[in-house]
Amino acid sequence: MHAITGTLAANISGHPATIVNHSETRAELAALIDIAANTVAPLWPLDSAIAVNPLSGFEDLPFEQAIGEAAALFGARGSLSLAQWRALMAEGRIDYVALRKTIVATLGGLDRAFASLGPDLNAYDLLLARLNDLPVDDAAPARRQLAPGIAVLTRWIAAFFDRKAALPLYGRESGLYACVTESLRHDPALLRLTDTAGKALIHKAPADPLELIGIAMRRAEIAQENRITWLRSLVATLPGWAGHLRWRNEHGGTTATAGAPATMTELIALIAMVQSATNPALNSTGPAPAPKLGHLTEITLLGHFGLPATAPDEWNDEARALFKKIAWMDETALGLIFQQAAEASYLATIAPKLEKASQWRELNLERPQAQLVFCIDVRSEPIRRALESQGRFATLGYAGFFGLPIAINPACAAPTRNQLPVLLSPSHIVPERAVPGREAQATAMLSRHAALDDAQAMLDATKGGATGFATAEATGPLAAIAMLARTLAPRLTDQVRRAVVGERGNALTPIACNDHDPAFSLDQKIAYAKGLFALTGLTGKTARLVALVGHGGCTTNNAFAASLDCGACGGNPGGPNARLMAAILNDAQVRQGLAAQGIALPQDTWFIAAQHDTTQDIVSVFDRQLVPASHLSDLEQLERALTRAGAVTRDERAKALGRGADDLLTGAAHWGEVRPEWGLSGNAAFIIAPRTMTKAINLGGSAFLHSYDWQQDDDGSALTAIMTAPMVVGQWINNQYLFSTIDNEAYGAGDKTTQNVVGGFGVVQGSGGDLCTGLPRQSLFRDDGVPYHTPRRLSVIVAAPLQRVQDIVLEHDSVGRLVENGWINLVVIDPWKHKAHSWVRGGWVAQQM
Amino acid sequence: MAQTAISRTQTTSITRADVALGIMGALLAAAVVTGNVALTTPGAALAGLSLLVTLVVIAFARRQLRADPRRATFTRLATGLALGTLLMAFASDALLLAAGWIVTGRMMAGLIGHVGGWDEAKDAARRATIAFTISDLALTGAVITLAFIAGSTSIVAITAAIPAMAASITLTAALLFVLAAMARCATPPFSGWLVGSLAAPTPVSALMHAGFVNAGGFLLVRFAPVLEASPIAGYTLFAAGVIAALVGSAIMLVRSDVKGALAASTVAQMGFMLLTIALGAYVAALWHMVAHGLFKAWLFLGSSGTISTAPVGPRGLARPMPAVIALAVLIVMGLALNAAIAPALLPLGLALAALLGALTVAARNVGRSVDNIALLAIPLLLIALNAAALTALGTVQANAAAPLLPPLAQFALLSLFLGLWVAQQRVGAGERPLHPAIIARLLNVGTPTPSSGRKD
Repeated sequence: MHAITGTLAANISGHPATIVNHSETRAELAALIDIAANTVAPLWPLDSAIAVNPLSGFEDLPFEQAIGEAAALFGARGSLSLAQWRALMAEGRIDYVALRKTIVATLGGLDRAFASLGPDLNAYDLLLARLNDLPVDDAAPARRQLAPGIAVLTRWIAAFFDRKAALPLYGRESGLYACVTESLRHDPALLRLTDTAGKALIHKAPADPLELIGIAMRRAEIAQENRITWLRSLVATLPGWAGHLRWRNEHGGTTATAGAPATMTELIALIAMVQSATNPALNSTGPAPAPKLGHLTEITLLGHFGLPATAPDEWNDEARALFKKIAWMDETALGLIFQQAAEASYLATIAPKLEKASQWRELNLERPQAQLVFCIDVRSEPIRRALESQGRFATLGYAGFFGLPIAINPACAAPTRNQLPVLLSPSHIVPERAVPGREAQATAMLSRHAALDDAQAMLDATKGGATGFATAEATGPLAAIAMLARTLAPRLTDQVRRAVVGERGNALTPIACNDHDPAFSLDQKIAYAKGLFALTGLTGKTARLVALVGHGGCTTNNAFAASLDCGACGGNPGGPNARLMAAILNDAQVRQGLAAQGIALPQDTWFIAAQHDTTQDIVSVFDRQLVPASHLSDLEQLERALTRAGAVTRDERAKALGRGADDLLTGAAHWGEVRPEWGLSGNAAFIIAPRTMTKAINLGGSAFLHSYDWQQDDDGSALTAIMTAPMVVGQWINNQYLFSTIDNEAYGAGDKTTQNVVGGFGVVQGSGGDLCTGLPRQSLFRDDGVPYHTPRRLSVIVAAPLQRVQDIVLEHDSVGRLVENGWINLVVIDPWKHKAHSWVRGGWVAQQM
Repeated sequence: MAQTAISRTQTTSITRADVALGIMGALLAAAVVTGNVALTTPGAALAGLSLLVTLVVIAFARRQLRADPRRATFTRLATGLALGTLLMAFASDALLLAAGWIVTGRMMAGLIGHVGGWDEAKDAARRATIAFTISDLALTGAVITLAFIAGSTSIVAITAAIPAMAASITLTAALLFVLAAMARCATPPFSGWLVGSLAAPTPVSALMHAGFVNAGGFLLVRFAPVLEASPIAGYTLFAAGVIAALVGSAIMLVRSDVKGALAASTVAQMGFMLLTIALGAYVAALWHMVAHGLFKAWLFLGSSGTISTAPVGPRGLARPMPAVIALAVLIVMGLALNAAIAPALLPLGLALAALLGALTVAARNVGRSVDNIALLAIPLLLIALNAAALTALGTVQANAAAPLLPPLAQFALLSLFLGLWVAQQRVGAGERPLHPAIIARLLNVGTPTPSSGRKD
């Protein structure tokens, strides 16, 4: 625990070992800036929203230390408030036994926890009282307030990063620093905030941003050893824009940066300049540490047990020290106990069931009616469970891009979009073409789309300036009809819209052709097909019908729409990948190639592609026209089962949302809806195991399920692939939800209703400021303000030999770092003794249930 | 506990919003019972707009504000705002109208500060309160002055007594009315309250267009004889309108946030409405008030859906189309200088420019398919619809007998607008950069003046 209480001190003294410098060379400073840049995670634009761990730059620290340091740096909370934890406890989301055990473990064992401090008093009771009984103030995290100078700066930064929503800034092509510095010199709002020296700094700012950082550093009298802390605090001043800049440079490609280059050095220089010019008194200390109320807590805590403030005087030194430690624990430390208890409660519920289920072998070797491969997304679990209860349907979990590293080049004017996890870069650019035989339909649809785009362009071209007056008048009556329709008859309106726009998937399809470089060769197709079998443990004994089911959300007028789509497909619906993979698997040559590699599929197996609409729980099948007549009745049966399973799932989700099932369908089409679905809220586990192990457990949409059979993975390569890619993505998602819930203002995107779309790619709160990161409040909290998402780190549960998992953890730093530093809870269920083991700081410990 | 906070708001029976709502309802009922109501064209237009948009916004907010602990307060204030607007719209007594004006202002300030505990919201509410108070004082001053001289608070009696009043009285009253309308309509120097009101939830921004920000237009048409009696006030209003139209358009150009751009556009649109009134084209002004209110409420409510991939092509019209369109419009309107349409030369000219602009965009891809030919018909249809609406409105509402400006002056104004429009298209397309000093001043409209600035 002292790690947490001591974080502020550690933060001020900076990271040890990074600084052993004597002279301020440019190279040194540049290197420090590179380190400081990692303070924030890249922030994807909302049109392809990707979940990231906002503290990814802290993953080389133990979790409990990272939350404290980040909290100090970002001015955030390190945990939910105690009042919120108590509310979750009262709802039964934390098991009392788990809390007991966590308290004991925190105190260092039973002996220390229950040793008598004074008459009828022990450390356990003290800590429990602090957690559960002592009065706390329950202030919601305050909305972020920028210093006035920084607020001015954000207006220019937003204008610089703008994507043609406003006019381009003068001198944009000369880069962020040059462009904004020149602009700031003319901004009276900023100059009013500065004194003479500050004005001089802005007017005489050197052309080189690195030089300016040096000047600002001297002005703020930053000591050598505090430089990195200072630079990090500058980046943390605007985590949203800094994160956007990182995305632009590291993931956005040349189109994102063309004509407006920007580096982190430039952003840091601007922040340093404004801070230095408007607030010379500010130095390296960063946000002021909150006053410690430990003394007060000591008295309250003693009073709670009916003891006078002088009671500890009669105890021995050890008892006094323990008492002091408990009284002085901050909310972050106390909240972490609740969080650990919540994680333990979850594991205690499912681990024994998984242990038991791991003893079972699939004895029913009867061929299933159909097999369905779903995305590992937690939202697949309820519908898989519901479908399996409809008949002999077998389901599997696989990353929702189905192993195809592709980008899709749409048939219309829209830019190419990546349909793969952001950890990878596309190997193929797949064109979207007319479905064979439906060329006329495709042409007509594309022309309708183009006409709608043109209609929008007509409005855009005339709504501003002098023509805007007539345009507003002319469009007014249409607007009235549109408003009434979207508000009073949302579903009908949506049907009309769909009728006009048409179902894109009916007429257009991605095609794995060899027109593009590099070509999509047969060998590659076979390799991708084989990956599906190797990673999921799917054997060659496939059913007559195998469905690959991608997923996407369904929502309107929602800036965060892409956050409901498939993260493995770059924040897009996964249907296109499913279709392409199904086409590959139906290819006779691919089948031959697979057979040559030992995966001989039955002649009568047909692959179909489908997409799960996670907002409405409707699964729609693609390319029905390609299904052979012999398989039509199989398909009909499957579709009937899918419809029933969808209804069951919808009912289940409606309960979780506290609404009627029918209202979910309305919400998906309603432009005022702020919570069309819970998304991945509630995620808590990543289970790498055959479905037989999880089949009998109602996981309530809390788990990513990746199918895996260790017996078919002799060299462990499949498990390595799963743990280094999908699992890491799962951890990003888990941490995004966790931190967005803990402090929705600092790490999350805040209240949806006061958000304001900026630049066409992000949101700010109110009239401007920092770009919002993370998820909005409505996606994580119930209407009554209680978190729906319980902050719990991801429990990664693997059914495989301990040694194999250990090898992967030790060999791969990307995994080892997360496990060792406690960013995930790694639990392995060994296949011989069927016992769960947790990884605790370097080794396996049998899971105590 | 958040739970208890909510149950408290639900169980506590009477809030300030309830009191305001009650007073509003009582006043409206009293006005109806005592017969202090009158059905006028501006009143009907205002009431219709208010009811339609309020209905949509309240239905929208039931979902949008589902997790908002103050959602009940929002509904009460929104309802109260509608009742207050109805009172204004139908009051035949000037004092009742003023009462509606004042109460709706307080309610809107409350709505702007909806998110309690957020400095930006508090600041916005404070700024709005100042602007509305100036507006209230001006209106009250005008009404009391006129009522005192006319010896009656009835609007009919007041307007009937105008010709007999001293010029200094009518001028004072007219200038006060103009001031009241300007503050409400957020024209410079009052734009800050509107552009800075984005700390309010989306439904509040939409609700402003339900006969609140645009009530200035209603007020001036309702008291048109006062304005007509004092040309100086007319010219003042005209100048204020032109400045607002230009400044608002310019702010819109530099705002990269969708709500900021929409709010700035409202400033411009309100300016246009006021200058139309100054010109004496009351029918056009009222139609603009209603149509723009619907248009802008629609855009605000849909503002969360504006996330998109980076646009491929340039925005706006390609060179030299704007200049060609402007020239064409000026030629046509020049030829019409002596025609019957001459009094409405400015709005007609701008409508023609908008039509040609839209058609240019649609024509870019014509020949690609039938759909694009259909697209050409849409602007034509909409303009026709507008003409029909204007004609219908014209049968129940008369324009000013004497236009403020002769056709030639209107032509000059049209040239100015179109010239700036061409320049703006070039700026928007990035062909001609705007100086940072100008951008800075435009970006800073509506932001808190940092007098209380240095917080840390």
